[in-house]
Amino acid sequence: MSKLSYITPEGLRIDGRRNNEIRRLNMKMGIFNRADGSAYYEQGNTKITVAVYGPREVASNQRMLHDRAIVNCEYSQAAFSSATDRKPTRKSDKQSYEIASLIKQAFESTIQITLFPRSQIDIYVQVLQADGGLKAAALNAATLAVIDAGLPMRDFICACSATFIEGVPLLDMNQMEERSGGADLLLSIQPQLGGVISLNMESKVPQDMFESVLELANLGCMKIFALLQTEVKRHSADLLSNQINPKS
Amino acid sequence: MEAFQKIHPLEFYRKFLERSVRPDGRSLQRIRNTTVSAGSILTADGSSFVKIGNTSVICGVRAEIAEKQQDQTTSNTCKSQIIVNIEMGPICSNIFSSTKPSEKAMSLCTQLNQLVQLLDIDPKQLYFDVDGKYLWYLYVDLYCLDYNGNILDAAIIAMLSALKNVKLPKGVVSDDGSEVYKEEDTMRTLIINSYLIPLSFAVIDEYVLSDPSLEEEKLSNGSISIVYNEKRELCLQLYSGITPLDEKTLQQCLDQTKQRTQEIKDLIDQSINDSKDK
Repeated sequence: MSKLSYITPEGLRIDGRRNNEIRRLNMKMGIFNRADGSAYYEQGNTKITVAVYGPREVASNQRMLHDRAIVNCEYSQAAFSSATDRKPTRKSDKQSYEIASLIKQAFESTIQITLFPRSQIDIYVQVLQADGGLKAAALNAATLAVIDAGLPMRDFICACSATFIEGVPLLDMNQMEERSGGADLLLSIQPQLGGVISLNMESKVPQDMFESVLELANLGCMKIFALLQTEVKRHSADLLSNQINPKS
Repeated sequence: MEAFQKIHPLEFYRKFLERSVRPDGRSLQRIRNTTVSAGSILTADGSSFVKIGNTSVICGVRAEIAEKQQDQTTSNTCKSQIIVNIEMGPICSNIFSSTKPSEKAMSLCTQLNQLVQLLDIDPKQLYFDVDGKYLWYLYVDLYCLDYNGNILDAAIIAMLSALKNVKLPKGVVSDDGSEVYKEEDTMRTLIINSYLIPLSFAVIDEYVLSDPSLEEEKLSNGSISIVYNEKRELCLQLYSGITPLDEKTLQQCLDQTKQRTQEIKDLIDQSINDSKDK
């Protein structure tokens, strides 16, 4: 069987993108009424909903912190979300925990949790359809939901994945590219403050190429930031225009 | 007024109900706006998204192949080949915890599994190959995304439209029976001719409210759920409450459910047709 080629001689990828292009983003804030904040996020074929509750009373007193709020995150993937295998419906698989703790750490450092002592902020992520780049998409979606909840944040969190296949750095892989066995680099940044929230890399990349992969991921994060910002502005403008003037 | 609602929610409701209207502006019989869309999840073999007011449920079906079990006799039903599961996680409401499934979700799951058996599906349709040595098993997973009352109706409509949206590839088994593979080019749609028409009610004092919201469910002292099929045969009738229910009220509820038949049928058919055009 011939080896699958990830890049055509013309420099196009399996889904027709060039190496430095992200997939189409589609997002909407404030989709649920019940939650304090919520968002729907679509990156290519990856579809995610996020609900945020809080700040609210801490469920168990033992975990309460007297100087700041605790952030709690749960990540779950729908049984029908993956095209290849049916996930077992139990929630305790390691991958979900890993992503949940990644999101938790990212938001602990970005939300101004010291403003809400003795309280708890819950972030629930539900993946409806998975097509690669789940960690990055979950972080971006959670950012929108947290902003919708009106929690004070130091900055956005923008995340993007990048890889290195067949000698070319590629931005925002889909599931097939993720399974190629190439490096999997996940960068999440605070785009305005210029801080790096997390940088994970699995598998190897030649040292002299690492810079260019990282550079590409950073570029992707900035592109996503621009799009997230547009949506936040659009949503806020909508809210303002719907507001009934209290004086009249 | 808001304070009154918070402190005496029941009294607040009574004041409205006396005037035959609900705080959200609906009359007692009025059902919230219902929307159905099918085929939006590409990774699933069939899917649907249903909204009744703010209550939203997403449903996906995954088909898996398995060899026919020996003890499974040649009965003409496809029992145990469709497995339904509903999840009501903390995402839909803060009253649910994530660690263990709630009682509500578990009882719903049983009801849905019973109802799915009543659907008229030719067992031959779930044959993977021609002679039925291998069978399709359909896993129906429902996720409640936003919970604002009347989850049973939303779940039933979602389950039904997702199943009607299922497309199965043609299966081929090699001659010696060692290999099974799917031919993705020739897809066939699962044909289900029956429908389920659900409607739930909440009883507050002597008033019966159709399609209750979460707040109404909480305040109610009884709840009625009725499911008909398209032949107007009763598939499910549930009443739980602390006060006995008189026959006239029940009859009214039954009649009202029957009246919803055409609307539900149209909604589901429309969504299935729309998904075909995509």
